[in-house]
Amino acid sequence: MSLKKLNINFKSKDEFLAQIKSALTENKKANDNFDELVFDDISSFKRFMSSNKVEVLMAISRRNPESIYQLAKIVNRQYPHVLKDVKQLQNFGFIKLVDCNGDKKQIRPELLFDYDMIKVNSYLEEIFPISAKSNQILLEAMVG
Amino acid sequence: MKKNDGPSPLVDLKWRRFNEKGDSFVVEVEVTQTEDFDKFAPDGIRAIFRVLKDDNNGESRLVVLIDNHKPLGFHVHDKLPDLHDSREKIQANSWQEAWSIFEEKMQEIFK
Repeated sequence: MSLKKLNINFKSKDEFLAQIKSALTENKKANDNFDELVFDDISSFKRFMSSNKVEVLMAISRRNPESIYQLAKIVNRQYPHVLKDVKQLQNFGFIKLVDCNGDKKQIRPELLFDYDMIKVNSYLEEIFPISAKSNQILLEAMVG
Repeated sequence: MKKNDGPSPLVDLKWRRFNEKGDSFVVEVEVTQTEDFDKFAPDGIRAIFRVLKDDNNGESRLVVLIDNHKPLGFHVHDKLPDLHDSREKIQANSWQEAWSIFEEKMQEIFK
Protein backbone atom coordinates (compact mmCIF):
# COMPACT_ATOMS: atom_id res chain seq x y z
CA MET A 1 0.00 0.00 0.00
CA SER A 2 1.59 3.26 -1.06
CA LEU A 3 1.34 6.41 0.98
CA LYS A 4 1.11 9.87 -0.55
CA LYS A 5 3.78 12.20 0.73
CA LEU A 6 4.02 15.93 1.07
CA ASN A 7 7.76 16.60 0.82
CA ILE A 8 9.41 19.37 2.78
CA ASN A 9 12.56 20.47 1.00
CA PHE A 10 15.08 23.13 1.85
CA LYS A 11 16.83 25.86 -0.07
CA SER A 12 18.85 28.68 1.38
CA LYS A 13 18.06 32.18 0.22
CA ASP A 14 21.11 32.06 -2.07
CA GLU A 15 20.03 28.73 -3.56
CA PHE A 16 16.54 30.08 -4.17
CA LEU A 17 17.92 33.19 -5.88
CA ALA A 18 20.36 31.08 -7.91
CA GLN A 19 17.52 28.87 -9.13
CA ILE A 20 15.64 31.90 -10.43
CA LYS A 21 18.80 33.35 -11.98
CA SER A 22 19.37 30.10 -13.80
CA ALA A 23 15.80 30.17 -15.16
CA LEU A 24 16.40 33.76 -16.16
CA THR A 25 19.72 33.30 -17.94
CA GLU A 26 19.23 29.84 -19.40
CA ASN A 27 15.54 30.29 -20.17
CA LYS A 28 14.80 27.11 -18.22
CA LYS A 29 11.54 26.29 -16.52
CA ALA A 30 11.68 26.39 -12.74
CA ASN A 31 8.62 25.08 -10.91
CA ASP A 32 7.98 23.61 -7.49
CA ASN A 33 6.58 20.11 -7.63
CA PHE A 34 2.92 19.88 -6.66
CA ASP A 35 3.87 17.67 -3.70
CA GLU A 36 6.63 19.80 -2.20
CA LEU A 37 6.93 22.86 -0.01
CA VAL A 38 10.25 24.66 0.18
CA PHE A 39 11.54 26.25 3.39
CA ASP A 40 14.80 28.10 3.93
CA ASP A 41 16.12 25.69 6.55
CA ILE A 42 15.13 22.99 9.00
CA SER A 43 14.98 25.37 11.99
CA SER A 44 12.48 27.52 10.12
CA PHE A 45 10.31 24.47 9.49
CA LYS A 46 10.59 23.31 13.12
CA ARG A 47 9.57 26.73 14.41
CA PHE A 48 6.60 26.75 12.08
CA MET A 49 5.36 23.20 12.52
CA SER A 50 4.30 23.13 16.16
CA SER A 51 2.67 20.04 17.66
CA ASN A 52 -0.63 21.97 17.61
CA LYS A 53 -0.36 22.44 13.86
CA VAL A 54 0.43 18.76 13.33
CA GLU A 55 -2.65 17.94 15.39
CA VAL A 56 -4.74 20.28 13.23
CA LEU A 57 -3.49 18.56 10.06
CA MET A 58 -4.25 15.13 11.53
CA ALA A 59 -7.75 16.21 12.52
CA ILE A 60 -8.43 17.59 9.03
CA SER A 61 -7.21 14.38 7.41
CA ARG A 62 -8.94 11.95 9.78
CA ARG A 63 -12.15 13.73 10.78
CA ASN A 64 -12.95 15.90 7.73
CA PRO A 65 -14.35 18.85 9.72
CA GLU A 66 -16.96 20.93 7.90
CA SER A 67 -15.79 24.18 9.46
CA ILE A 68 -12.98 25.68 11.49
CA TYR A 69 -15.38 25.86 14.42
CA GLN A 70 -15.90 22.09 14.19
CA LEU A 71 -12.15 21.60 13.86
CA ALA A 72 -11.61 23.58 17.08
CA LYS A 73 -14.08 21.27 18.83
CA ILE A 74 -12.23 18.18 17.55
CA VAL A 75 -8.81 19.35 18.73
CA ASN A 76 -10.35 20.74 21.92
CA ARG A 77 -8.76 24.17 21.63
CA GLN A 78 -10.13 27.71 21.54
CA TYR A 79 -11.43 28.85 18.16
CA PRO A 80 -9.15 31.94 17.75
CA HIS A 81 -6.02 29.84 18.33
CA VAL A 82 -7.14 27.17 15.88
CA LEU A 83 -8.10 29.85 13.36
CA LYS A 84 -4.60 31.32 13.58
CA ASP A 85 -2.99 27.90 13.02
CA VAL A 86 -5.33 27.21 10.11
CA LYS A 87 -4.52 30.52 8.43
CA GLN A 88 -0.79 30.00 8.84
CA LEU A 89 -1.07 26.47 7.44
CA GLN A 90 -2.98 27.92 4.50
CA ASN A 91 -0.48 30.73 3.96
CA PHE A 92 2.37 28.23 3.89
CA GLY A 93 0.53 25.89 1.52
CA PHE A 94 -0.25 22.87 3.73
CA ILE A 95 -4.00 23.27 3.44
CA LYS A 96 -6.63 25.13 1.44
CA LEU A 97 -9.87 26.68 2.66
CA VAL A 98 -12.98 25.90 0.67
CA ASP A 99 -16.28 27.78 0.79
CA CYS A 100 -19.06 25.33 1.66
CA ASN A 101 -21.87 25.55 -0.91
CA GLY A 102 -20.72 29.02 -1.88
CA ASP A 103 -21.24 30.21 1.68
CA LYS A 104 -18.22 32.31 2.65
CA LYS A 105 -19.27 32.20 6.30
CA GLN A 106 -18.66 28.47 6.45
CA ILE A 107 -15.18 27.56 5.35
CA ARG A 108 -14.03 23.96 5.25
CA PRO A 109 -10.33 23.25 5.76
CA GLU A 110 -8.85 20.62 3.42
CA LEU A 111 -5.36 19.26 2.94
CA LEU A 112 -3.54 20.73 -0.07
CA PHE A 113 -3.94 17.31 -1.65
CA ASP A 114 -4.80 13.97 -0.14
CA TYR A 115 -1.41 13.33 1.49
CA ASP A 116 -0.90 10.69 4.14
CA MET A 117 2.32 11.96 5.62
CA ILE A 118 4.75 14.83 5.67
CA LYS A 119 8.30 13.79 4.82
CA VAL A 120 11.01 16.19 5.90
CA ASN A 121 14.01 15.77 3.63
CA SER A 122 16.75 17.06 5.87
CA TYR A 123 20.04 15.51 7.04
CA LEU A 124 17.85 13.41 9.32
CA GLU A 125 14.79 12.25 7.46
CA GLU A 126 11.67 12.80 9.52
CA ILE A 127 8.13 11.59 8.98
CA PHE A 128 4.91 13.08 10.33
CA PRO A 129 2.05 10.61 9.90
CA ILE A 130 -1.05 12.60 9.05
CA SER A 131 -3.71 10.17 7.83
CA ALA A 132 -5.03 7.26 9.89
CA LYS A 133 -3.72 4.93 7.16
CA SER A 134 -0.16 6.22 7.57
CA ASN A 135 -0.32 5.74 11.32
CA GLN A 136 -1.44 2.16 10.91
CA ILE A 137 1.24 1.32 8.33
CA LEU A 138 4.01 2.92 10.35
CA LEU A 139 2.89 1.05 13.48
CA GLU A 140 2.83 -2.24 11.58
CA ALA A 141 6.30 -1.52 10.21
CA MET A 142 7.59 -0.86 13.72
CA VAL A 143 6.04 -4.05 15.11
CA GLY A 144 7.11 -6.11 12.11
CA MET B 1 -0.15 16.45 -11.99
CA LYS B 2 -0.89 19.97 -13.19
CA LYS B 3 -1.69 22.60 -10.58
CA ASN B 4 -4.40 24.18 -12.68
CA ASP B 5 -5.70 24.40 -16.21
CA GLY B 6 -4.12 27.76 -17.03
CA PRO B 7 -1.00 28.26 -19.12
CA SER B 8 2.05 26.40 -17.89
CA PRO B 9 4.30 28.81 -15.95
CA LEU B 10 7.92 29.40 -16.91
CA VAL B 11 8.68 30.02 -13.26
CA ASP B 12 6.45 29.08 -10.34
CA LEU B 13 8.38 28.99 -7.10
CA LYS B 14 7.56 29.65 -3.46
CA TRP B 15 10.03 29.97 -0.61
CA ARG B 16 9.08 30.00 3.06
CA ARG B 17 10.87 31.41 6.06
CA PHE B 18 9.86 31.50 9.72
CA ASN B 19 12.24 33.48 11.89
CA GLU B 20 13.03 33.41 15.61
CA LYS B 21 10.69 36.37 16.25
CA GLY B 22 7.78 34.33 14.92
CA ASP B 23 7.53 36.33 11.69
CA SER B 24 6.72 34.18 8.73
CA PHE B 25 7.33 35.10 5.13
CA VAL B 26 6.40 33.55 1.82
CA VAL B 27 8.18 34.67 -1.34
CA GLU B 28 6.25 33.91 -4.53
CA VAL B 29 7.72 34.16 -8.01
CA GLU B 30 5.48 33.44 -10.97
CA VAL B 31 6.24 34.06 -14.63
CA THR B 32 3.71 32.82 -17.18
CA GLN B 33 3.47 33.11 -20.95
CA THR B 34 -0.07 34.25 -21.70
CA GLU B 35 -1.84 35.10 -24.95
CA ASP B 36 -2.93 38.49 -23.66
CA PHE B 37 -0.40 40.71 -25.45
CA ASP B 38 -2.44 43.80 -24.69
CA LYS B 39 -2.61 43.42 -20.92
CA PHE B 40 0.95 42.13 -20.62
CA ALA B 41 2.64 44.08 -23.41
CA PRO B 42 4.74 43.54 -25.41
CA ASP B 43 5.32 39.78 -25.23
CA GLY B 44 2.36 38.49 -23.20
CA ILE B 45 4.54 37.44 -20.28
CA ARG B 46 2.84 37.92 -16.93
CA ALA B 47 5.26 38.34 -14.03
CA ILE B 48 4.36 38.47 -10.35
CA PHE B 49 7.03 38.80 -7.68
CA ARG B 50 5.86 39.20 -4.12
CA VAL B 51 6.78 38.85 -0.47
CA LEU B 52 3.98 38.16 1.99
CA LYS B 53 4.37 38.48 5.73
CA ASP B 54 2.19 36.86 8.35
CA ASP B 55 1.20 39.35 11.05
CA ASN B 56 1.34 36.65 13.75
CA ASN B 57 -2.43 36.23 13.67
CA GLY B 58 -2.44 34.26 10.48
CA GLU B 59 -3.29 37.34 8.41
CA SER B 60 -1.02 37.53 5.40
CA ARG B 61 0.01 41.01 4.18
CA LEU B 62 1.94 41.97 1.10
CA VAL B 63 5.20 43.74 1.84
CA VAL B 64 6.59 43.81 -1.70
CA LEU B 65 4.75 43.32 -4.98
CA ILE B 66 6.05 43.86 -8.50
CA ASP B 67 3.88 42.96 -11.47
CA ASN B 68 3.37 44.10 -15.04
CA HIS B 69 -0.24 44.43 -16.14
CA LYS B 70 -1.48 47.43 -18.11
CA PRO B 71 -1.62 50.42 -18.05
CA LEU B 72 1.73 50.81 -16.27
CA GLY B 73 3.67 47.79 -17.44
CA PHE B 74 6.24 46.84 -14.80
CA HIS B 75 5.40 48.58 -11.54
CA VAL B 76 5.93 48.25 -7.83
CA HIS B 77 3.16 48.66 -5.28
CA ASP B 78 5.12 51.29 -3.41
CA LYS B 79 3.08 51.89 -0.26
CA LEU B 80 2.64 48.36 1.02
CA PRO B 81 1.51 47.00 3.34
CA ASP B 82 -0.82 49.93 4.11
CA LEU B 83 -2.00 50.91 0.66
CA HIS B 84 -2.39 48.26 -2.03
CA ASP B 85 -3.58 50.51 -4.84
CA SER B 86 -0.60 52.85 -4.96
CA ARG B 87 1.63 51.91 -7.88
CA GLU B 88 4.86 53.32 -9.22
CA LYS B 89 6.26 52.46 -12.65
CA ILE B 90 9.72 50.93 -12.58
CA GLN B 91 12.47 51.03 -15.18
CA ALA B 92 12.26 47.49 -16.48
CA ASN B 93 11.53 46.17 -19.93
CA SER B 94 11.53 42.48 -19.17
CA TRP B 95 10.78 40.19 -16.28
CA GLN B 96 14.53 39.59 -15.94
CA GLU B 97 15.15 43.30 -15.35
CA ALA B 98 12.21 43.51 -12.96
CA TRP B 99 13.59 40.50 -11.11
CA SER B 100 16.85 42.37 -10.38
CA ILE B 101 14.85 45.14 -8.70
CA PHE B 102 12.82 42.62 -6.72
CA GLU B 103 15.94 40.73 -5.70
CA GLU B 104 17.41 43.90 -4.18
CA LYS B 105 14.23 44.41 -2.16
CA MET B 106 14.27 40.79 -1.07
CA GLN B 107 17.91 41.01 0.02
CA GLU B 108 16.98 44.05 2.10
CA ILE B 109 14.14 42.20 3.86
CA PHE B 110 16.14 39.05 4.57
CA LYS B 111 19.58 40.52 5.33
